[in-house]
Amino acid sequence: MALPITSLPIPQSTVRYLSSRNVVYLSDLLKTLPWLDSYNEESVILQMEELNLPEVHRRLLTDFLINHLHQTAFQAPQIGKKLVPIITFSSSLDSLLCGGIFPNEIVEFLGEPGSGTSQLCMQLAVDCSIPEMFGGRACKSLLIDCNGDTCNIRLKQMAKATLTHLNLIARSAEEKDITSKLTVDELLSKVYTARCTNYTQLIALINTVSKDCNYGAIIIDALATHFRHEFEDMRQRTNIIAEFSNKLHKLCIDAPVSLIIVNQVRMDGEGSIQPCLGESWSHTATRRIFLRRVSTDVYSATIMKGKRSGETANFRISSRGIRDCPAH
Amino acid sequence: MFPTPCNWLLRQNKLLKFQNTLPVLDELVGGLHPGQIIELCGPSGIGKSQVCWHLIRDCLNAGKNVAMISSRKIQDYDLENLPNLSNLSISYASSVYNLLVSLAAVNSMSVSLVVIDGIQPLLQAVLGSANFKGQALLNEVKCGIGTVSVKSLVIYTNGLVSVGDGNHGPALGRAWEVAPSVRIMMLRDREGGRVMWRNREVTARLEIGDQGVEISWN
Repeated sequence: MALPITSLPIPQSTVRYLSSRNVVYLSDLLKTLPWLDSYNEESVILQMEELNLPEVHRRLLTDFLINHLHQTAFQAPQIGKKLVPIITFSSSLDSLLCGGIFPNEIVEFLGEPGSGTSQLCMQLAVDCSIPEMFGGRACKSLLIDCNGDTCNIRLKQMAKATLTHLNLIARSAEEKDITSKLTVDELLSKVYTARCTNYTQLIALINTVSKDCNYGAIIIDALATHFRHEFEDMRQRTNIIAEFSNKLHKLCIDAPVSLIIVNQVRMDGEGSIQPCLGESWSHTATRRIFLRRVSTDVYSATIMKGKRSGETANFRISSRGIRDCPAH
Repeated sequence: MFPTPCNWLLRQNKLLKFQNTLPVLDELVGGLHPGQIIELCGPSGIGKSQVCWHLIRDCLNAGKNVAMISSRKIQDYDLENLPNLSNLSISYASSVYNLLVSLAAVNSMSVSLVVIDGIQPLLQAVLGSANFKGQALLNEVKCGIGTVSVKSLVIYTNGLVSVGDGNHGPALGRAWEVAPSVRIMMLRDREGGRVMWRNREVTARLEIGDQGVEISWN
């Protein structure tokens, strides 16, 4: 492939070393390129070892080849495996979301302060740990808190209400057996929380999680918090957000994780409400949902982007968590 | 690429063009045939991916092969109602280098339609680099797409950025403006309907339904 060495993300010292050995393109270096045969890491490492480069250059190049030139094999898609969504406990909201939040997708929730976004995050985190027998995913969830809205006591309250609900709907002997052994502690042991106080911590956390992700859902509460006020250089902010968005995409493709991101809103010049973080960020999410508070405990959700675009559903936030509005 | 007589190339293009159910789009872009690089540019949620899926469905219905390079995971609900799924090949790209490798791999496949969904997140991340690496990579991608477009129709989706005074333009900068052969801007008009523009003069209207998209003249 005629990719010049100067355009690879390797340091100048490596580029200079390779130029001194008359290597101008990537194809000068590798006899067989990784995607033409069946790709595996060992063959790349072996090929690199045969080239007799100094240790430091060899390590950098091998890292680049393994991290960037994989996962590109073309395959025909297969439908068949039924994917289990994360439910929100409000049936109107769930049907608006076509079942809930599925793995491998990035869903963005937008709303003004007080529109139910943090409560929805906590409910989704608890809902991940519902056992499979009851249609849940029974997986770990990670709730990343950027502005301090996550409350452990509220999580416990929601988990207790979930357990009561499961006890009520258990019918068969197996189901009753499972719910009798389930405790609030066990439900909460699958909900992990982390607190980030600046954007560097957030990016570092996502980097660590990406290495070997065994969470079923990663929920970032208020992504815009650390990006709105700390930057003087807008270009730097755009770059960092673009790279962050790439990392999130990669995470979603590699592992069956649902990514739920809460964003904030701002007023633009004409007085209309716009999402924060700009146009380039708005392409990251596959679905966007706008939350609004309608009355004391009634909230509404409208789909701005994605399947069923433009439709609205109402839900209620009670002491038990997110629930349906009572029918009149 | 060996020198080939023009009339032979034109005949090949006519032969390789697949049957599509969007005659208005066909005329708007000047023909949905190999050799064209079409950019669909618009704000988030306006229906760029929907138009791409409609064309993929048409191409698969006609029995031809489709290659798709996507920066986001394809969900099952996108794939339902698609015939001949074995003729569709999907590759995921999470960085520019993935994209370049995928484009090189497409060259060795014989496909009628190549769709790159979401080219902006891949290229935006390298554009801000302090030195010239970003522009070099952009050029590489342009060349890669150009090579692929000799044998197939290439469609990709781009986003918008604000260019001052409340106006919007295509993302990825001035150097990218010459990348496609046709750029279709998709915007919302005052009533909230979706409009597709070419060169600020010719317009068409886009409706999105359950069975696909409908494009009609304005």
